[in-house]
Amino acid sequence: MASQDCEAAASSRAAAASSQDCEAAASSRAEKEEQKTVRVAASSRAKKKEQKTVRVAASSSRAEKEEQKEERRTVRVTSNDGEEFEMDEAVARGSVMLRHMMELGIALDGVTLPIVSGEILALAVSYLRFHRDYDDGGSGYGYGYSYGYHSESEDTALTNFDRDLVKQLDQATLLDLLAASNYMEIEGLLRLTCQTVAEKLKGKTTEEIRQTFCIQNDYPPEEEEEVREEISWALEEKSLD
Amino acid sequence: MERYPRRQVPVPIDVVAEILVRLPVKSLIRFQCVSKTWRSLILDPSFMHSHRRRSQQKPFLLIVENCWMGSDTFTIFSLTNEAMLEECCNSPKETLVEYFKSPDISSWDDAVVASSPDLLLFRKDIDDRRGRCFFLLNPSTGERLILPESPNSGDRCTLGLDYVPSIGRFKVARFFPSAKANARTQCEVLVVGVDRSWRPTKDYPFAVIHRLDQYSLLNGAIHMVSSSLPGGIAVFNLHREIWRMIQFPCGFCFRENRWAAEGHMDLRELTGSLYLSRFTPMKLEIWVLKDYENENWTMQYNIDTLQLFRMIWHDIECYTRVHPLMIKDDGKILIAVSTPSAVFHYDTEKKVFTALKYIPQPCVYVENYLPLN
Repeated sequence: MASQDCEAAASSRAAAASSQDCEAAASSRAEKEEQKTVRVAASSRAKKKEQKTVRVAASSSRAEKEEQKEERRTVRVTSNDGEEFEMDEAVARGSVMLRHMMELGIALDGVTLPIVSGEILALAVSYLRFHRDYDDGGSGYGYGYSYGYHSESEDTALTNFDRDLVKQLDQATLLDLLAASNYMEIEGLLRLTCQTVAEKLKGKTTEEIRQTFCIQNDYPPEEEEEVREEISWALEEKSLD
Repeated sequence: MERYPRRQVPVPIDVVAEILVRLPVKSLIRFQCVSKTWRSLILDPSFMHSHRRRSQQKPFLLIVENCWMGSDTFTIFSLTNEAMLEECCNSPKETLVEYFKSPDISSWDDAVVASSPDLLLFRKDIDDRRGRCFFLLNPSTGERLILPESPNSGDRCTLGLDYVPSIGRFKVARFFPSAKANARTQCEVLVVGVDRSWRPTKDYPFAVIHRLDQYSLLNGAIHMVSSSLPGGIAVFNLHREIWRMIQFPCGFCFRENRWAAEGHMDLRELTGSLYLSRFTPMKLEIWVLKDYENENWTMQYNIDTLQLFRMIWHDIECYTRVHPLMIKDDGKILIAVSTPSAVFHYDTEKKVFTALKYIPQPCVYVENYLPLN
């Protein structure tokens, strides 16, 4: 019986001791935690201060940028042979296709055009850049042009640019550029290229047209003869065929 | 000679359509030979109409009466726009371009009696003017169609025509005085390529004047002057085949002038509006129907014509007609005088007439290749 008591006493003493330890441990843990909290609090305060500074710095520089009236977000467009072009969103909006992609939020990581080569994309981008500067009221310059204002010389500059753009292109490149402007939905460029190609087509023979457009003559000979008969009056005019 | 590098990839047909729609009709006709696909695109009705819609944005002028140019073969000339008309009066050879030529049409026996922006309607005199027939001509394609005969194609008949989009066909109407002595005007119509004979339709309760210079086509309706009481403009809507009347402007009275009752009244369409003018040796009144719906006329010009009268008085006869030929944007007018054939430029500010060389009345034309059959 006494051993039992002893054991009980021992165990309770141990318990007490351990609980004392626990308490001590607990209190020291609590202390530590408190200290930790303090440290954490201090560090977070410091962090907040830091962040605040950063925020202040950022907003003031943003304000600066806004004063320049430009949030320079850009979009990256890649041709089918890997050439990359980076342009302002405002410039890219000249292409209805790109505009829709940007509005749908699917242009954020860049756009790849599977059917437009680098050479052609370069031409299209230069067209977009030039016309954006004029058609957007010149906000890129920030000199307060009102929307749609064009001085005499600027209007001439526009058509001179268009003329020069298409002047040195050979037939194949012109057609590629036409197809690209159709695909990218750049209205002004489509009109320009269509008009240029149409002008060049007027004097061509049937065979030249087939070569230019890569067309197979799918007429059986008798039928072709019939059609030529029918339209002979039109063929007489230009003695090309 | 330019090199034509061979393309590797064919151009998609919708891109081809964007190019072809910008070409003149003659080129399109030629390019039917390129391939069957191109031919079916060119002959496709919706492509044809797209092409015509583009042409309607840039109409040009045709000059048909070519005896004055002295050509041996019947030739129709074209003039890019109205702005060149004045220049053309002075130097026709430099400004006019040959648009259509045909040895089968005679400058002497054949004359234009009506036109719509797409087609010309000719009267052909046969048998020493004892008989006549009528045919349509599209100068873009050279397509011709002789209209079925009618017992009513006498001297006193007026014809009018227009394209009716809702049926996709041209329609011609003929107006002639009623055989009975009741002073009514009868009407018969024909849908081109469909009807084999003329079909009578509603008549108009009053007589109209059958003169080319008292007729015009506007808004799909044919307008003719009716001089018998109550007087006014008889309007026949070609598509719906109904008549209505537009009253003369207030104060416009043609009886007071001492010339023939048909007088020096002229009705024509210019710049998309209806113009009514009245000439006396003293003045030329030009009224325009600005508000077509409400029949509101405005006297646009009231010109003192004494100076003009003095320039032409020795040639003037009771048949002399004076009417506006063209009204320019800046308000200046070209005035034509027939018998003698002369054209004058009138400056509305300085109030001065300047004589120019004669030019016949041009027709406004829109390139198209709408089929007649």
